[in-house]
Amino acid sequence: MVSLVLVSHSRALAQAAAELARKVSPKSDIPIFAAGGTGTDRSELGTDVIDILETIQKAYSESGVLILMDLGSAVISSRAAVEMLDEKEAAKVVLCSAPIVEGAVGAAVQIAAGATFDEVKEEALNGLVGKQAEIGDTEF
Amino acid sequence: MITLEKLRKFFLSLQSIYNDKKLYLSELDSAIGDGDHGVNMARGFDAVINDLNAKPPVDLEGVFKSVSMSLIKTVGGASGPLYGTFFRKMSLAAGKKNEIGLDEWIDGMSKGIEGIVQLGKAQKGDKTMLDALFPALEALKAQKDAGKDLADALSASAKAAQEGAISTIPLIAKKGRASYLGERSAGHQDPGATSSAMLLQAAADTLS
Repeated sequence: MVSLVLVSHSRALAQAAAELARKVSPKSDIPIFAAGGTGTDRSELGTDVIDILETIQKAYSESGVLILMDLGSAVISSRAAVEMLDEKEAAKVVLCSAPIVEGAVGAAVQIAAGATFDEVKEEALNGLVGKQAEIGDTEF
Repeated sequence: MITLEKLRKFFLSLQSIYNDKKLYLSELDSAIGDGDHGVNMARGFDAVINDLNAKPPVDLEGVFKSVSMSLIKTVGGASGPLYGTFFRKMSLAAGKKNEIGLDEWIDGMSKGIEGIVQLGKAQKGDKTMLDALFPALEALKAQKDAGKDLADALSASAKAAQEGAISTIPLIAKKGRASYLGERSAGHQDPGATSSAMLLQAAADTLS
């Protein structure tokens, strides 16, 4: 099964996004992991490479690990964490530019359905499509 | 030659510089970022020295690796992984040697800068630490080609880095939190380029 890691400057935000995605998907036991925050109890805003690295290792799956993150140092820290994995593991871990909430929900539904890594990633990247069609503000 | 002892002095000097310049770097960062760069760098290099003292590495590669881990663990924000990666890549150029010369230092700088580019995807002129590091590397190479020694090369690279840091003042930030300010980021010197210029000045003062 494909694993999902959500990285946010706010650990609470990553955890809540994970909970939302889990609730929306048809299965509650899919592998979604949250990382983020800094400081001793991770309650401060920021990202920490070692925290992300350990979360990826916990989430590791031969089917692939998809990482969704918020922005700025969350991207840099996630990239640095992937670089610290050994090459074999790193090859299975992919950073994805999908929006963290919509992407996580789309990915979770696919993971629950037993989709392949590429299918999960594609659904995450298309996470905004439904909302954009509904609100209709992307036509210029 | 750059020896284990000189490298230790280099990092001790960085600890004292970043502690002395903590407020200055944080002030630069307050103008265009989140105002914690000085505090982060001081905390990071305090940890660097603590960790080197707790477990003294036996070769240059070990020193750079230890420094890299300390920075990644303690600096936070984008600077931690960026400086951490810089020193981790430098460890590759140093290898298990006890002393290195200008060639290896240039190789290390080159690999370190490559690592920063891979991680942050910034380019020259984006108002980042690279605006100090790129000219410093160019100066090192030019000095080497002109047959100059390590001391001359390090001093030229420190000067180029300082000029590079000052050159960020009129630039519009393209990366990091400063980029959200758009044109309002112009008129301020980049804190990352400034801390990088300090690093290369310390290198000129301690490694030659």
